[in-house]
Order: sequence, then structure tokens, then C-alpha cells
Amino acid sequence: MRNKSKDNLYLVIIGCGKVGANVASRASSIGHNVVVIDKNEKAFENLTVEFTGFTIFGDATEKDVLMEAKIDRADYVFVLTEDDNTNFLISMACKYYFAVKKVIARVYEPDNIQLFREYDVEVISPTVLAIDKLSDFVVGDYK
Amino acid sequence: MPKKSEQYQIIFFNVGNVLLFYPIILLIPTIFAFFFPFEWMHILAFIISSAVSLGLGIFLKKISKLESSPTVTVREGAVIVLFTWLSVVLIGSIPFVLIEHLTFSQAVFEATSGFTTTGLTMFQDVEHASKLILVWRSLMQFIGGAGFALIMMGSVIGPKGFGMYHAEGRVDNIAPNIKRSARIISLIYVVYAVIGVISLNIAGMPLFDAFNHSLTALATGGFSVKNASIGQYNNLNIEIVTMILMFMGGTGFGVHYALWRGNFKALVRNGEPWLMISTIFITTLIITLNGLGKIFTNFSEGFRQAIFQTTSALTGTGFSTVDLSNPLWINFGVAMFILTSLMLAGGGMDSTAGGLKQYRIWVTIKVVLHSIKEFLLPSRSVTKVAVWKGQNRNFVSYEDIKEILIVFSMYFSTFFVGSIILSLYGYSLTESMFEFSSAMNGVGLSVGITSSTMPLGAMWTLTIAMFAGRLEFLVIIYALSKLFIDLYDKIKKSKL
Repeated sequence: MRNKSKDNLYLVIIGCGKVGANVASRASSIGHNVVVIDKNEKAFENLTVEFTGFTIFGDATEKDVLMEAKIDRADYVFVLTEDDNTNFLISMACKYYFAVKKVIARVYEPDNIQLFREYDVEVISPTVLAIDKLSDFVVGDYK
Repeated sequence: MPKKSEQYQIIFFNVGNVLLFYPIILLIPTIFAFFFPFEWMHILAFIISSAVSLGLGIFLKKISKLESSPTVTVREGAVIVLFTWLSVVLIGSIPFVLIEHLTFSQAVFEATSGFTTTGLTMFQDVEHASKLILVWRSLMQFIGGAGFALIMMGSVIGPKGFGMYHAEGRVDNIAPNIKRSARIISLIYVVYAVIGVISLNIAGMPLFDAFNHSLTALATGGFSVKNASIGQYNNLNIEIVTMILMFMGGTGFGVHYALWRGNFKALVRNGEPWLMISTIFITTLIITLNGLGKIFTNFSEGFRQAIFQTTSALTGTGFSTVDLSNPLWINFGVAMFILTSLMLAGGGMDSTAGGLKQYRIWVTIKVVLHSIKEFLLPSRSVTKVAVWKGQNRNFVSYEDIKEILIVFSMYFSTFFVGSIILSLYGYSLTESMFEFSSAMNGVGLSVGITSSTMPLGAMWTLTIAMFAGRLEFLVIIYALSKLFIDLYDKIKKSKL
């Protein structure tokens, strides 16, 4: 019954903050299968009315919670909690325990990025993005 | 939150959308003209209705000035659902007027009874009614059982229609994507219907009858193509198959999906099926034992008749194997009262059945037991009430309990008011309560109040009861109060 085309992906989003909730809502509104995990029940209020996926209330560092989300079948996992260490632990679990192909983690501390990359986790760093964007105003193309 | 004018654009757009697709359903009965060639001129009635629907749909979409629908919130959803159902019922009643020459009130009653999956009928002699009309009645129930939001979401609007889905009184979301949920539910529904037709046919029903009864049993509708309903066949196999179909229809789709996925752990933890089965058995035993010697000559006959009526009442179907308008039954107080209460209780949540819903009753039982447990535990202990629904385990919050309280009180107050109105027309209290409960909960068992010659006031009381009961009252109240407030604001602004 599962359809592997581009317009029907299975996404698991861990951390339902502003970023997680908005990505989840947008993906849900165009028809993807979306599951959101957060250990704070109030966080699900960030989701907009467009969100029609599942929410799982629990700690994603626990294996049972990831299992409940059927994470092994996910096409993408976005790891978006507020703590780099937590993100690393969850990414490792997804990548090496559940064999998820695409794990994308948010990393705040630029020094940690290398570590994530070494373990084959894609990184998105708001800190680096902000640094680059702001530097553009004054430094120009400094490479 | 969108602006007022945008909200109404969304409303017009979506109602227009439904009406644009409605002709597809309206034209299905015409296919049967090939099997019944002597009825070919009746096709015209369906074509006229389709044209009306198409015209209105195009007009509404035009004045909405929208290309595609923005997300529908529950706020617009309520109004959309109200207008959709009203227009669908009105357009759906046109064939009754044109073919069977019913009056406007009778036709609206019949169409409402169809789409709300009630099954009370204006036809005294269905066996001589037009075959196309019979198909149309069954089809109305089949579609009404699924609900328009579900069909539209699975096909046209997609996830943006979630507000509509909610407003139609459904909460089930069985896959992490509502469009897929809608498609899975439709698939389950259609597959069961096909299985139903085949097994009824095997049990000894002619194919045409099997087709109609399978659709209406699964939709827990109850329109029959025989004057004495299922009782006319007097065939035990048919009764058993019909009971299974009714039970399937009265079980929520979340439970069916758990079954299809082979998730038996979740399945046995769902309270609804257990509650339904045990209720049916206990009430059947009471009626059988109490009726021995009075109505039933022996135990097995009594059990067979009682279990069919209780299943039919609880699932909100309304098929019968006995003549309930017989004074013998009306004076059988225990049975009448049990059936009336079963109708109020209703089937499973997110099923095609009406009534209070087993899930709400199950939660109530759990909460009562929990409060006793809490009393016995140390005062600082923290406990939660967990209830299984489909494949998910939910914790009951105060919001849920509040919702249940509101629904219970709406149902009971409407039930009291409605029964009083009916008894004002001179019917006995038993009859009034039974018939009103039957209409309000979308059941369709009748003690004989419903007929084409009944007083107009009583007829419209039942029509409104069916309509309001199917949409679970609140949606209608929300929608109407929104319309009135918006209208009031508009008038106040134009005066300034």
C-alpha cells in the first residue's frame, strides 16, 4: 500500500519547535506522511491547522519511542531538538540502529559539524547560516 | 485566521466543489436502466437533478473567485458541511418528486432519511416503487454513511479539507496523512460492500436485493426493497449475514484498519467491539427470556428475533424481521425500552452508525471506574485514564470529558423535547420516544408513526431530528451561530 513516489514521502520530525512544526505542517499540507515526536506535549500547539499527521508524545532518545514512529521505514528523519548532544545521540540511533538512509540534524555549535559529518549525518546549522549571511554584508566574497 | 470575506469565499468554493462532483453519484442509478429497460424514461429525473447540481456548483465556484481552496479550518468546515448537506438533500429529493410524485415534504423526508442513514421511509409499498428509485435510496445511504468530507478529501481537496472532516463528526486519522487515511477508509468500505453483495447472494437473496441490502446494511442505513424488510425472506442465513454486515458497519474504521493490518494486540484492547457484543448479548437474553410465552413461542425463535432487532437498533441500521407496529410489540414494555435505549447508545465512533457512540460510553465507564480507584489510592498518587482507539492509545483529558458531557446533554435534551413534540400529536409516550430516538440516532426502526399520511409538523420534527442527529448537533449550532453573527455584523456595519 506504500507508494514510493516523490509526492508521498514518509517523514519523521523529532522536535516540534518553530522550525519542526512549520516544516511538518507544510509537508503535511502537500500530502506527505508526517510523524512528529516531542517530549513536551505543549510543543504540538506549534503545529498549524494544516497538519494532519501523527504526533507522538515521548522522548526520542528512547528506542521504544522511535519504534512507535516506525522510524525504520522513514524516507527522511529531521532531528531538530535544541541540544546538539541529544541530536547526535538520536541521529546515531536512527542511522545505525534503524538504518535510516537520510538523517538531517540541526547543529548549533559549528565545532560539532565535523563530528556529525564523519558519521554520515547531513547537517543544517542555523549558526553557520547566520554567520555566512551576516558576513556577506561586510566581508563580501572572502574566500 | 482568514478575513470574513475570504472565509465565505472558501465556503462557496468548497460547497461548489461538492456540487460539481455530486452528479457523478446522481447518475449512477441511470446505469440500472439497462437492466430495467421499461424504466428508461425515469433517467430524465436524474439528469434534471444533475443539471441543477452542476449549475449551482459552477455558479458557487464562480462567485468564490478562487482557483484552489486554501486550508479549511473547523470554523469554515462547519458552515461548509451544513450547506453541503442541505443542498445535497434538496437536490437528492428531486427524483422522488418527479418519479414517485411525492410531495415536497415527503421527498425531503425521504432524502434526509437516506443521507443520514436513518431508513425511515415514506413509501408504503416499496416493492412496486421504481427500481431506479430503490437504487438511488440505497446509494444515498451508502454515500451518506461515508460522509462527503471523506469522499472529497480522498479525491479532490486532499489534506486541506481536514476541517470539513472534523465538522462531519469524525476524528479518525488512521495513517499519518489524511488523504491516505481517506483512501484507505473508502477502500475498506467498498471491499466490504462487494463481499456483502456476494455473501447475501450466496445466502439466497436475489442479486438486485443483495446489492441494495449490502449497501444499506454496511451504511447502517436500513432502506429495504421489501415491504417487511429482511423479515420477508424468513431465511436464517440471510439474517446472519445481514447481522454481520450491520456489525461491521457499526464498528469504527480505525478498528477495521487494525484488523486489516493484523494488529490483534490493539484490536483486543479496543473497548468498542467488546462493549457492543456484550450489550447485544445481554439485552437479547433479557428480551428473549421476558418475551417467552408472551410473544415468542420458544427460546430459539425468541433468540433469533431478539438478537436481530437489538443488533439492528444498536448499530443504527433499522432492518427488522418482526412487525414492531404490532400492538403485541408496542405493549411489550421491556423490549421497547431496551430498543429505545440501544438506539440512543449507537454504534462505534467513526463508523457509519449514529447515536451517542460506544467510544464515549466506554470512556465514561473508564472514568467512573477511575474515580473510584482514585478514591482508594493515596491522595497524592497521579493516575491517568488510557483508552485504545484503533491502533492508538489515548489518554483521556478534561477536554475529552467536557466534549462527552456536551454531546450527552445535547442528545438527551433533544430526545426529551422531540418525544414531547411527537406526543403532542396524540401518539402514546412509548411510540413517541421510540420513533424519535429512531430518527435522531439514524436508526430507522419504526412503530408505525412514520407514514406518508402523518401530520406535517411531526414529519418535519423527524426530518430535523435526523438531520441534526447525523451531524451531532454541535456543528449545526456552531454553523448557524457563525452565520447569524456574521449577518448581524454586516447589518450593523451597513447602518453606520
